[in-house]
Amino acid sequence: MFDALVAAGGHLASVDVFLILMLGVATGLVFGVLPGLDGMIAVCVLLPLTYGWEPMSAMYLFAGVMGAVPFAGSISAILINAPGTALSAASCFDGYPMSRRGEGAKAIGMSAFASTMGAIFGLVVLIAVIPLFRAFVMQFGAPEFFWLVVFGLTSLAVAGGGSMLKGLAAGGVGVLISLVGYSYVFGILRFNLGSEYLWDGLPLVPLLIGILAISQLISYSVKKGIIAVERPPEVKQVASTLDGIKEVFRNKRCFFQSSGIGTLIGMIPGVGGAVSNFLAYTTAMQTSRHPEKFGTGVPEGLIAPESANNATISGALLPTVAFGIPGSGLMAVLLGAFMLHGLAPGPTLIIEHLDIVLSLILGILVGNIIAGGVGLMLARFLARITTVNVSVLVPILLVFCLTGSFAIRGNLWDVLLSLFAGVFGYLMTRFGYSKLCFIIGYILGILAENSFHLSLKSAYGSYAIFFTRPISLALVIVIILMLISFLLMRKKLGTKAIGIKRGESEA
Amino acid sequence: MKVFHNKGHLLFAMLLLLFVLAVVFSSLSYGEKARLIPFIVGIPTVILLTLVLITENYSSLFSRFRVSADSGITGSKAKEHRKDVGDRQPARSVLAACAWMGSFFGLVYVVGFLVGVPVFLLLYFKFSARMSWLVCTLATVATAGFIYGVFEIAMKVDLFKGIAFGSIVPPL
Repeated sequence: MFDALVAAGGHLASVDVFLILMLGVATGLVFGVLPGLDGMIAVCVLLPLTYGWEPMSAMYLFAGVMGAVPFAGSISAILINAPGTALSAASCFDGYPMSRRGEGAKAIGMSAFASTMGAIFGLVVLIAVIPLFRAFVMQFGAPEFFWLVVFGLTSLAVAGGGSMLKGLAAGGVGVLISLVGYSYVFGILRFNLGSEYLWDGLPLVPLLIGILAISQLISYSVKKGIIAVERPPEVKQVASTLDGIKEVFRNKRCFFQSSGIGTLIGMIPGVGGAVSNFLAYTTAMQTSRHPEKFGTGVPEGLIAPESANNATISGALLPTVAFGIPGSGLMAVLLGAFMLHGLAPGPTLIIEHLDIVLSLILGILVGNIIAGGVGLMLARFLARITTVNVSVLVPILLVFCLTGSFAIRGNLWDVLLSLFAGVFGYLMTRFGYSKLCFIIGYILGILAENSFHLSLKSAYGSYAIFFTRPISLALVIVIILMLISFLLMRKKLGTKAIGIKRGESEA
Repeated sequence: MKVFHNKGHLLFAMLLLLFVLAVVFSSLSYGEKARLIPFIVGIPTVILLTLVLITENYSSLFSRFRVSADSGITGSKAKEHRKDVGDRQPARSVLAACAWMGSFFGLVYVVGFLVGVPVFLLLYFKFSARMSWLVCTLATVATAGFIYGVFEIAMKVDLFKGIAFGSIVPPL
C-alpha cells in the first residue's frame, strides 16, 4: 500500500502529469460552472481523447475534472444563484445572499477552502479504509457480485429520486441492452438483428456520449437563450477572500460534521452529492445555535454543503473501485473509463491496480487544490460563461462530442448511435426514467450475467448458492429491507401529504 | 394538453415495453442457459413497465377528467389553450434540434468531417444562433481548427472523408 502510494505520488511530480491535471481542472471548471453540464458529461466528452493513453494519465485527467467540478458548480450557485451541478444546489441558500450583500469574495473564498478541505478529509478517510476493504473484497465470490449488481441497481432506483418503478425498469432495459452481441460465455450471438455492427454489442463510449452529453444538448436547444440571466457581481477583494478562509477555521465543528456526512453518503451507491449537500445543510441548521439565520447568508450554511459535496466524491470512489458499483453518476462514467482503458471494474482494481486507484485519489486531491486556487482568481470570469447563448455552445459541443464518438473506433455508425442514444436519453429525462440506472444496468449487465453463470457452475446448477453464503444472504436481506423501507416511507409521506392537503382545504 | 403530455409518457413506456417483450420472446430461440438472464431480467422489467403504463394511464384519465371539469366550471379555456401552445413549443424545438443533429450526420456521411464540420457550424451559427457572417466565420474557423488540431493532429485519428470523397462506410 505504502509503495503504491509513493509510486502514485512520484507520478504526480512530472510536468506531463501536471499539465494533464490542469487540462482536467480547466475542463471541470468550465463544465462545472455551466448549469446542466456536469462532471459526468465532462468525463464523457474527454473519454475519446484519452483513447490510447496510459491508463494512469487518463485517470489524472479525470481526477482533475472530479476535483474541479464541485467547486465550479458552487461559483455559479454563489454568484448568480444558479447551481452549476446538483452537488452545489444547497450552496445557493446562504452563498447567494452573501453575494447579494457584497460578500461574494468572502463566500467564494469560504467555498474554495471548505471544498478543498472537505475533499482532503474524504480522501484521507478513503486511503485509510482501502486496506480494510482489500481484505473484505477477497471474501467476495461470483454470487456476491451478482447480488452486488442487484444491490447497486436497487439502491440507485430507490435513492436516486423520481419513480422507483421507472428507475428499476430503466436498469432492466440497460441490462438487456448490455446482452446484445456475441457472448463469450455461451459462444453465440444474441439480439444482434443480423447486424454486423452489433456483433460486439453497443459500444460503451458512443452510448455514454449520447445518453449523457447529446441528450443535454437537446435540452439546451429546446430551452434556447442564455443559461443564466443574472450577471455575476464584482468579486475582487483579496482581504475578504482570506476572511472567508478563516471562517472555515472558525466553524471547525460544522466542517468536520459535514465532511463526515459527505464521505458516508458518498459510500452508499446511488445516493451521491445531490443528497449529501442538502443533508449536510439541514444537519448544520439543526445543530446550529442560530438556525433561524440559515438562508440569510450565514457562513455555516455555506461551509456545510461545500465541505460535504467534495467529501462525497471521495466517498463515492470507494464502492466504485472496491466493488465496481458506482457511488454516483460521475463514478458510473468513471467505470466506463476504466473499461475503455482495459481495467476491469471490481475488486481486481484495488488488488491488482492499486497504483492506478491511488493515482486517481492523489490526482483528485491535487486537482481540488489547483481548482480552489484557479477558481478563486477567476471566479467572476468563470461565472460569466453562464451568460453565453446556448445556440453558440450547442454546435461546438455537438461537433466535439460526435467527432469524439467516431474517433474511438473509426466507425461512422458510432456517430449515429450517439445521436439515437441522445434522443433516447432526452426522452428518458423528459418522462422521468433514470438515465443513471440505465447506464449502470448497461455497464454491469454482463458482469451480472457472468457472475450468475459462474455461481451456478461452481454449485453444479444449484440456485441455493445465491442464498446460503453469508455475504450473499446479507446482501439479499439488505435489498429486501431497502425496498420495504422505501415503500413504507413512501406510504408514510403520502399519508402526511394527504393530511396536509386536507388541512389546507379545511382551513 | 396534459392529456397530450401523458400520451408521450404512455407512448414511451409502450415502446420500452415492446422492446423488452421482443427481447424476452427472441431469447426463446437461444439455449437454456443463454436465455436465463434475459428471462430473469426481462420478465420483471415487463411487469414493472406494465405497472408504469397502468399508473401513467390512470393519471391520464384523471387529468382528462380534471381538465374538462375545470373548463366547465371556471371557464379557463383561454388559459388552457395558452398552455397548449406553450407545451407544443418544446416538441417543435426537439424536432428542430434533432433535425440539426441529423443534418450533421448527413453532412459527415456525404462530405466527411473535414468539410462537414465547418459547413454545419457555419449554417448553425448563421441560421440558429443568428450571428453576423463575420462572427459566424470566425467562430467556425476557430472551432473547426480546434477539432482538426485535437483529432487529426494530436490524436492522429483518420477522420472519415465522406462517401463523396471515396471513403467506404463499414457494414451496418
